[in-house]
Amino acid sequence: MQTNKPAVHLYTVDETLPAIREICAGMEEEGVPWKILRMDGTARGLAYRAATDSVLESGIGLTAGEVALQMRKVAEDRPLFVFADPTAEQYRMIGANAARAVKKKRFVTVQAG
Amino acid sequence: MKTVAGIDIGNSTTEVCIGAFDDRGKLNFLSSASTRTTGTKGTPDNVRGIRTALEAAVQKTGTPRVYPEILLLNEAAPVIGDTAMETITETIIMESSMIGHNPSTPAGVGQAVGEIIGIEHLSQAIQGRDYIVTVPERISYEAAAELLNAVQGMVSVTGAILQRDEAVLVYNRLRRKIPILDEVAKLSQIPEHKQAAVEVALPGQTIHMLSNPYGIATLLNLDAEETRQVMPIAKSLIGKRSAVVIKTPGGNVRENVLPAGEIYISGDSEQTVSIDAGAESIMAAVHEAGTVRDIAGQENSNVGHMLRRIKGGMKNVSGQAESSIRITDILAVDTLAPVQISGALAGETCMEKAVGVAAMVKTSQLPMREIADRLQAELGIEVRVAGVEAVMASMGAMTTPGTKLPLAILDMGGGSTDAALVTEEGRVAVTHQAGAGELVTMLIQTELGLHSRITAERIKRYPLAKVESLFHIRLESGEIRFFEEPLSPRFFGSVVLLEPEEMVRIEEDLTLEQIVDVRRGAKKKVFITNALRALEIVAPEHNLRRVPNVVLVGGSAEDFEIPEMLLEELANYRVLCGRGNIRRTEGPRNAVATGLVMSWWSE
Ligand SMILES: Nc1ncnc2c1ncn2[C@@H]1O[C@H](COP(=O)(O)OP(=O)(O)OP(=O)(O)O)[C@@H](O)[C@H]1O
Ligand SMILES: [Mg+2]
Repeated sequence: MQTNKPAVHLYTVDETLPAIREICAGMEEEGVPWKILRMDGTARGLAYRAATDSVLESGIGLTAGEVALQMRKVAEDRPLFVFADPTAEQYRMIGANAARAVKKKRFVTVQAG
Repeated sequence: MKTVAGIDIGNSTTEVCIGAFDDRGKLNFLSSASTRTTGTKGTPDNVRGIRTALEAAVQKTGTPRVYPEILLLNEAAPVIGDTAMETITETIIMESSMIGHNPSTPAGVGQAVGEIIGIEHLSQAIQGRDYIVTVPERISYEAAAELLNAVQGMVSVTGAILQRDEAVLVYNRLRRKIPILDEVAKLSQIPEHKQAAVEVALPGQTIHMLSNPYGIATLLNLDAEETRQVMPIAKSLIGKRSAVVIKTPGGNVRENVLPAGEIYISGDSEQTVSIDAGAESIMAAVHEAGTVRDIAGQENSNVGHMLRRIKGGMKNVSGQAESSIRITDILAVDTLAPVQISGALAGETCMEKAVGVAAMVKTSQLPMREIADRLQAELGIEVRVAGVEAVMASMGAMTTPGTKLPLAILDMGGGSTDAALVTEEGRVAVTHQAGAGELVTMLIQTELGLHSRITAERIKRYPLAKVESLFHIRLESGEIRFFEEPLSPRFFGSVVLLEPEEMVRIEEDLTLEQIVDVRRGAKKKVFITNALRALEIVAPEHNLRRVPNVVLVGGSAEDFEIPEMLLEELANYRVLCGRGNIRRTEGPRNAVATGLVMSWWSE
């Protein structure tokens, strides 16, 4: 079994998606570590599992065209943020907020675009 | 049986109380109600609000409804309270010469000095010089890191300033680490080729070199005269997480002392005091003047305009000649107002010294008879004008359980703080002082730099909490409250107000401790000062220690912490005070209206 290091978990259907770069930049700027795993599912479902598995209780689910942010113990059908066809800013923001969830800082928002 | 309604028109609130006397004069209270005062206190516009409140009170008398046969209006103290703010100092920084702000994620730590250069001009850099690089929005963090790594060993780059929020991203990719500031919106206004100093503090700490004039002098090689000039810059950088100071020879930085106006007080003695002497001196002059006949401000100064405006307002309302309108009291309090610094590059503000002033204007009489006639015509009920406000308030306050004569009241309203002292023999002394709840709200708004007055009013009224997770909050008392259902993400990490029905997020970037400090400070500045000076006036021989038990009434007595503050302060004089509970049911409200009803039988 793998050791579960403190990290935000990012579960994605495809580890080669270009969005990952933006999401991780958001987490890196906030200085919070992350871990990426490939897995099948919907963005919401993946985010829920990622948050459940993360020691830091923060998880992101990513499919081609949808992204969701979740914190542990919040119902699966009520992710904190979810975007369909997100912009680069929205991906960055999901990453930043996943990290800010860990740091207990208020979330940043971006204009829908 | 006779049914009577007492009506109290205040600056903020109109209150009604309905009571019925039996044939032997035994009084039975039936109901009460209140509404926002419509129009300026003492004007016919008040009739609308009176009718609303009266209707509401009648509805509550039960079935069948009881309609009063006589309406009693208070002889409203003809005072209008108004508040204004005057800034005393002003920091002017000509040219773009500084940045000081708190981006949440700067990178690196320490200080750096160098000449400003745009990252796209690095090829023109001269060997042997130190540079601080600016990176505009259009350059990505990867490109920026690549460019900086490429010149490493050839150009000495000691620090960087980014427009985007990417300091950590750039820093992590640099081979040679430097302090980096980010989120500087007006990056294009930073002048190239000038010497600059950059400082980034450790996480959780604040800068210490650039917030110290000698620190700036050390980094930028300033002489004594230049060091004196950067004082206001150092001052405005205190408490910042990161900062840049740019040396602009000939650039003009100064802290102006505005030509603050003088206040002329004529009373038992004549007093002149300058606004910039501060609140304490102003209040000492007010005290020194004794019974004040009138107060005026210097022509063409802010105070002058303010006092004139207040008088003008009263003139319009009362239709009386300006000569019969006088300002009989002011309350001045020291405060700080955040003022935008000209020449700042990230929207910085500087806390400038200011004085907040509440004034009270008096006319020989308010046209209460006009209101009474209008009401009588509209409702077909007899309307009388009866009773001085503070006296009525004392009668009403006497219905608080545990009170007896002699007794003092403090009526803490919106515009004014009134005091009355009733002796055992029924002799009454009263006073009306400028400054109450509205001034507190204004101080909270300016000191916290809030955009909306409504937010300031809410901060005044409700306790705060910090949302620590989606499932729990920490109250300002330190207690934790848990939630079964997750809170909305918009509250996460925020400071919130705990209103009775909902939680409201504070949008401004303020800590819970900052807000609590300002809130409590504002309440103390206004109400402790006013309670002491009002009680001193009505006290036997003006000796505070001889004040009997004090009952607090009025809207500001509903405050969740003001009564305790006063209790603590007055304990120093062995005076007991507490929030009233009119007729055992109304809390500190409805004292004047209740007193009016009670006074009817004795007439
Ligand atoms: N729950 C509360 N906590 C704190 N302050 C309150 C509360 N409710 C009302 N106030 C304040 O009370 C003030 C109004 O008081 P009140 O209704 O007694 O004034 P008023 O009698 O109409 O005015 P004035 O006495 O100046 O003529 C306002 O400043 C308001 O902010
Ligand atoms: Mg009042």
